[in-house]
Amino acid sequence: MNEKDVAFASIRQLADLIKRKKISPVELTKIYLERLKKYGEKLGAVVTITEELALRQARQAEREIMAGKYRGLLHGIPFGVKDLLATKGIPTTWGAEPYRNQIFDYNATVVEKLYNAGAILVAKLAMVELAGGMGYDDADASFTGPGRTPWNLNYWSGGSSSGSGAAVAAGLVAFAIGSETSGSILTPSAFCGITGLRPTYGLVSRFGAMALSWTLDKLGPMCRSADDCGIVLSAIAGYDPKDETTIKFSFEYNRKTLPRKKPKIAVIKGTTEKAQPEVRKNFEDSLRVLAEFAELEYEVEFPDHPWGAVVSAIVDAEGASAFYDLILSGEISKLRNKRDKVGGYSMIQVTAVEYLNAMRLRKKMRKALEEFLSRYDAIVAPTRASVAYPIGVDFDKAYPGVGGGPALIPAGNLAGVPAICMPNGFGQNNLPTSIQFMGKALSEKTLIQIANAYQSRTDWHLKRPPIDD
Amino acid sequence: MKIKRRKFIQLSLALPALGYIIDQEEQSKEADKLLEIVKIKYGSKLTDEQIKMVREDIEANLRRYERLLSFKLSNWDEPDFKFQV
Repeated sequence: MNEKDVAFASIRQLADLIKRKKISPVELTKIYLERLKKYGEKLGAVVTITEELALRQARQAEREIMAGKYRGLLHGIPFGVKDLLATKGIPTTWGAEPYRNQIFDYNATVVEKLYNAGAILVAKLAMVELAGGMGYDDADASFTGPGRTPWNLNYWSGGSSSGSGAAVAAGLVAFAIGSETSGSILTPSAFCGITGLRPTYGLVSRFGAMALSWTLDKLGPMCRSADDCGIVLSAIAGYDPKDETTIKFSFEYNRKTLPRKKPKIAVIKGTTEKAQPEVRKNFEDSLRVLAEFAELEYEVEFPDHPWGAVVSAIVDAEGASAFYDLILSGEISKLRNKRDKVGGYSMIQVTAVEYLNAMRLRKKMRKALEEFLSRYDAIVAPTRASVAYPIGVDFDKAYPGVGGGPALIPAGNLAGVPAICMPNGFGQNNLPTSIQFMGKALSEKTLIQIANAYQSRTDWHLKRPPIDD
Repeated sequence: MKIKRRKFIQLSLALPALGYIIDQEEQSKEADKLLEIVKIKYGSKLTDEQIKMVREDIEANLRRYERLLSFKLSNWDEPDFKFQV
């Protein structure tokens, strides 16, 4: 295996190389550090390369492994985190100029859990400023500049976990952590051609993470395969007394094949009618693969509720509260995106009654979605109706007439249910398309199993972007 | 990534079909008044172009609120969070 193969290997492959002492954690870390230096800026994917810490952690992992103290699959594996997770003594910028010099003296729980698993932090990864909460309208929305998908540098890597998506796709890290309030793991995963998992709300502690919307924010793995997502999720999930929204649920993952009974998957009606033709074709091809191991129910109507409007009202109210000082002080004008500079002034006008009414509707809508999802092991749809947006063009002008039908991403986030997405082909300009599975709360294992079954029959997740060429 | 405010301007065009009629003139006046508050409080920090963008956002938020009001809530429908001691 040459260095490039190593950079794109799965966690399980890397762990095997480490365990068999075919590669040392220090050697592996150096490979990723080199790639971060070479491609990180080009992709707008990196805020801070944590070289000193990484090499120290790598040497420690090496010593432990050589002494026979092997901690598990993540021991010695280099990773990156979206730069909204606190890392002791290292800048945590939230992607935004006003917080560029912010340093915390503690680690986010997720970071601490990964350290305990023996993983090695190599980079803090770029993100849309303040996780996109202020209403950005084009790709240029971070003090590090626009994130670029490694499949075509003229196109956006998606947001708000932009750097996490691009870094994983380009083999700059073995895996990354992203966050999602409404689409911020799934969108960059789709635009960068990687596998991303949005966990159930409360499964992963958010202690030490920037808050945009307390009732919507979630942290999750962004990887090169569903199996990798399962490995990382099992390391970061779990109750945390520092985050009172976390639930006492033990998530343990072992790669296994699907149960003998075929999973029942609903194909949501109307998701491809206004999608790009390539998205539609790739989705139809994916359904044929799924039919090999799953029972598909076609043309299933998704519950019709104002998903987007309710999510938007909640994010505006909670986001305005979370960043009230920034807005009132006028410091918000230091943000990069033209809409972000002013978004807060309308957000603070959302009334308490509007917010409460949105939260009251949310309860009814969540119950409706729970009831709907309880009929299936998963529902399936394209992750996005288009490929990545071009850089330099406002989002709403990028692909006129293209739309995704039922609002699965806002709905899933509003209800706090999990979803996993993965590449399923290519569309315009050699950009990846993606498919998503969504299921009821705490159904991550089932979703990962379905995704594993899909990826064992396809090789889209193994394709490498042309960045090294 | 969240739904853009301006998207609601487009979405609102579908509202009459849902049986909900928006009095655009009244909404425009309301937007003007809300914008005045922004101008009084923060106007010195904003350019004319930025004030125009704030107005677009306010208009979209008003349409969003009208849309939310069109969905029925009963007196006993509680918000989706709980207070516990």
